[in-house]
Amino acid sequence: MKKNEIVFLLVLAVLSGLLLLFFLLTNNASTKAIISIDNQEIATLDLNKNIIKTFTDGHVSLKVEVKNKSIRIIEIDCPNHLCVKQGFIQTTKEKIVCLPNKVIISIEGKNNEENLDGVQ
Amino acid sequence: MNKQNIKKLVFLGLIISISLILSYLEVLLPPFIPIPFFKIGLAQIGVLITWILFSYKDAVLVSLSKTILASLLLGTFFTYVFFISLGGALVSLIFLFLGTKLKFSIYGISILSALGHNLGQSLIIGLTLSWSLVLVYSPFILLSSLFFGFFIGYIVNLLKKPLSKLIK
Repeated sequence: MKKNEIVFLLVLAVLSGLLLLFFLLTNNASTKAIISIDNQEIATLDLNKNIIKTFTDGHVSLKVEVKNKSIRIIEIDCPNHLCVKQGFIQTTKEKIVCLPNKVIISIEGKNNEENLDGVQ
Repeated sequence: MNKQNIKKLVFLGLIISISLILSYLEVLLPPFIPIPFFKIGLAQIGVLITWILFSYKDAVLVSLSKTILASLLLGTFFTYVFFISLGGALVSLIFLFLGTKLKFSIYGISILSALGHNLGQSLIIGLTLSWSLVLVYSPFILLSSLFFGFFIGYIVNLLKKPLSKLIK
């Protein structure tokens, strides 16, 4: 291996380590889930209420389940169903993505109060 | 057409079909890493082997045919997902060229092309869908490029010798 190659690999390793650290430090649970399709927000869900609901927007239709302050996709029409296999998410740095349908489910908001609730 | 050319034609055909099967098998694997559309990149073995045994030009040919044929096989041709993988393949080829110019070893080249794949795909996703999505996954994208790039480089290194005997 040449010197510039080792430098390149080290820079890559350090950069990914730093990003991972940042990711872990800023990751927290929250209770507001946002479902968007092709950059259009179509629904906001409160994760404190357990429900199973189907959302439709244009030709995209997805069924989501909210349970124990986490959310997952149960049913959607796509080739690989990676988003369904991914299962539940519950923190702000987790996202469920279905690229063929351009569906993104993200969790937003700070969670200081909710954490306190959890402690009580 | 001389004997060497025919051998090359057959070999490239084989490589492309093996890459296709590998990319199909990958879709069947359970997602053990929580990144949407994460792939180990087994099909990249074919591209890198072609690059080592023949030339950069042939590697471009294998990579592009693999991308287009795999999308036909998986039924994603000209859909959104197809453009993501095409973006990945193109940037990966540019990175492969850079690696050649910098005279990296096979491990460095493999990691560089894995990184290219991921950056190209992230670029398309970022431009068309959401940059925050790309940012959230960036540490995992970089780490998996390092780890699986090395893994693919290792496999290519193993295959290099027996295959070069085959085409002589």
